[in-house]
Amino acid sequence: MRISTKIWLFVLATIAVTVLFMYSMTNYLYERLYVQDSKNSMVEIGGKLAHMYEGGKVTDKLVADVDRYNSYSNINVFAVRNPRELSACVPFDIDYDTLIGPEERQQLIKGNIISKQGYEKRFDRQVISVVIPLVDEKRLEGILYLYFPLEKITELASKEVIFLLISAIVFLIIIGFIIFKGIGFIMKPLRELQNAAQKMAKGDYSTRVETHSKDEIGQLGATFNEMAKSIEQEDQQQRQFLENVSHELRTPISYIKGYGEAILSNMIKEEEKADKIQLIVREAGRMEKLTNELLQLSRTKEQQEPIQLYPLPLAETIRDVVGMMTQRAEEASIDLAVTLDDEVIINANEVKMKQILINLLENAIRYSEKDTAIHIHCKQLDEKAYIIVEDHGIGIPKEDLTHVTERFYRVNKARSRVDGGSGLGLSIVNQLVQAHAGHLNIESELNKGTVITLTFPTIEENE
Amino acid sequence: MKKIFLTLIVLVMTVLTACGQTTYEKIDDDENFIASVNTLQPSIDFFRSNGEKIATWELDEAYTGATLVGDEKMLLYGNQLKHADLVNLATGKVEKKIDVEKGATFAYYAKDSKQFFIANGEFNEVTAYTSDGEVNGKAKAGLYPYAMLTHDNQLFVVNFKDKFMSVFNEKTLKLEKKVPIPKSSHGMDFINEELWLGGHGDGEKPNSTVLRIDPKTSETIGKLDLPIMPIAFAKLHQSEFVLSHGESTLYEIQNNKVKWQKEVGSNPFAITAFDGKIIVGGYDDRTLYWIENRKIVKKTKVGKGPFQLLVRERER
Repeated sequence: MRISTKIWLFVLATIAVTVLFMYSMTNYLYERLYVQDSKNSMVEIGGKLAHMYEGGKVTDKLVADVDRYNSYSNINVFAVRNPRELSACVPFDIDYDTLIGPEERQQLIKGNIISKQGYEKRFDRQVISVVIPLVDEKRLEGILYLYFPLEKITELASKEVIFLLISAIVFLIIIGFIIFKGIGFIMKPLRELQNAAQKMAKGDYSTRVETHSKDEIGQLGATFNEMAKSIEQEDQQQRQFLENVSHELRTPISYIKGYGEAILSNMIKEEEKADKIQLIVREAGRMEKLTNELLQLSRTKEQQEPIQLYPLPLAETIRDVVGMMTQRAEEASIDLAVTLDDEVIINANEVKMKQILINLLENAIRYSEKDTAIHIHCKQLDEKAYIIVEDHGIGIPKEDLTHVTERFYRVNKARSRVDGGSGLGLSIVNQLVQAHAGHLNIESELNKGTVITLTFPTIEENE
Repeated sequence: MKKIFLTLIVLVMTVLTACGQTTYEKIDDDENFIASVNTLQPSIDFFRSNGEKIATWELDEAYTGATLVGDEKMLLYGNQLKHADLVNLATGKVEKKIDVEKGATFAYYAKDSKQFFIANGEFNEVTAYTSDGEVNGKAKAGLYPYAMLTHDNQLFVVNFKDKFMSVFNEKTLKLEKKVPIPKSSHGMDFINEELWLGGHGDGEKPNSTVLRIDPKTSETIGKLDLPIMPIAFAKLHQSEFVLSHGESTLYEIQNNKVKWQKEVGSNPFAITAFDGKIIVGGYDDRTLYWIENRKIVKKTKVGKGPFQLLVRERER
């Protein structure tokens, strides 16, 4: 059963119960207020009329006066003096339905007013009646009988039962229709969401829902759209990633394959063979490096082996790396300028820290103009260690800045191998910096250069 | 277990013997009295002619009427009882329990033939008993036989729910004739060989007249207008007193004319003459009114619902 049907049924049932409740409530109020009120007013009127009785026999005048009052009043009242009606012959077995019974007669003789409610054969209907005794010296000379037809609501209903039933049904049908429409209106965005989710499940990640309202369903729609956007992006990145990976791997493989085949078929001269094998090894190394990097990146945080951190003097590590990179910098006619604070010590893993620095320097060298310098600073400020690598290279366009740490993201979309990067370097740097509880910040100006700042917490001296 | 059983038997026996030995307060043989039979809460009040109370019998069974059988006994009967009890007044003991059918409406003692009759409204019959309570005869009557009176060796039985009166031979209970009367007739007396018959009136309209019937021709020879519901008669001196319960009015009639009338009591059903007085019992106000020389000389409270007045006046 659909949720809208459930809600509809629930509301309809609630209304039906309400109608029933109102019906019984009306009945109850009718009994309590209307009947009681009628009784009270009859007792009051009867009491006043009884004042006309001056004792002795009930006179014709009194009967006539009461009759006259009756013709003007909405309450029926008449005076009775017929002893037969007053159960005067009770010890005798009289075949006659008296107006008042023997028990009531005893009450009336005592001067008590009797009020009753129910079916009265005499009037062939439900009545509320009040009997006022006219007593003189313990003689029940007569009574004033006041009654009011009690049109029970049920009695009314039984008269107009078809009308009532039909109107109740029509009412329920109309209300049911309105509620149905109303729920449909309210549920429409939910249905749209459901359809969208189904499309999503089938792989159509471009699906979005329109949100009109700001209620829970509207918020749900907005959240859904955000989720769909994220999934779509993720999906696109995944494709991009796979594309990149295959692209990156294809180049070295084709080198290796081409030269390998050439060597096998002796197409390469003997003296060039060593060169070509050198090339194959280089490309294989490149592939190895790439797959290692991919492996590292593909591991989620939880899957990564914990990195062993220990106090590491930063200046020394930087010097080692700079030493390793000096030759390559010289080949590119780039000067490496180093400004180091020897007292900076952080919790770090030497191998990983070197990897970070190598990546950064490789990038800096790769994108620097000839005859420029790369400045490497290391300093401590406010319990934080800073490593700043500043080059004077081609820089990074503003729109690319936020994306450069993404895997395979390259500013140079042509992806030529001229600049030699895999597009994974900054991704890995970012990951490793985070593993050291550090922070990576990149500032760049196109054609002027880039400043990369790493920030790490230092070790307190007293620790 | 045995002990309990024995105790139980003893207890049951005690109760049974107690029941069998219902005794009422003795009424001395030489005491004249008027007895008010009260039916709303069954009891009988006995009074001397000066209004002094002699005794009150609280009746523990649903007796609806009583009649004196001779001067020594009183018969108690009940509409829903299957026995009628003959009580000896001097000893206060139930002398005989007479088996009867349910439905007794009225009992009447005929002095001259020394027998009493019990009318039964369920079987519509009249049964005659000797004054010792032995069945003397039985006869079918009309619907709901009630008021009874003997006169001139005839038993007149008013069939309350029928349109005729059954007239039987007093000794043989042979039906002699049927006299047409209105329904719901009640109360009768003989005045100068005329049968006067009162009644409640049938249906909604209450009766206001006393019919004068010639018992020989069965014809109505006249009417007396005595509103409303004249149903009880009493003779005193030269006057006939008629009691109309509908308007609680007592009429004194002489020569078929109303000589005096007075509102007495509340819904009175019973009237009788006793020691030169007329006594009326108000059913609703449970009061006996003692009337002498057209004046109420005494009022006496009685039990709930005085319905019959019985008089014993022994000649000394």
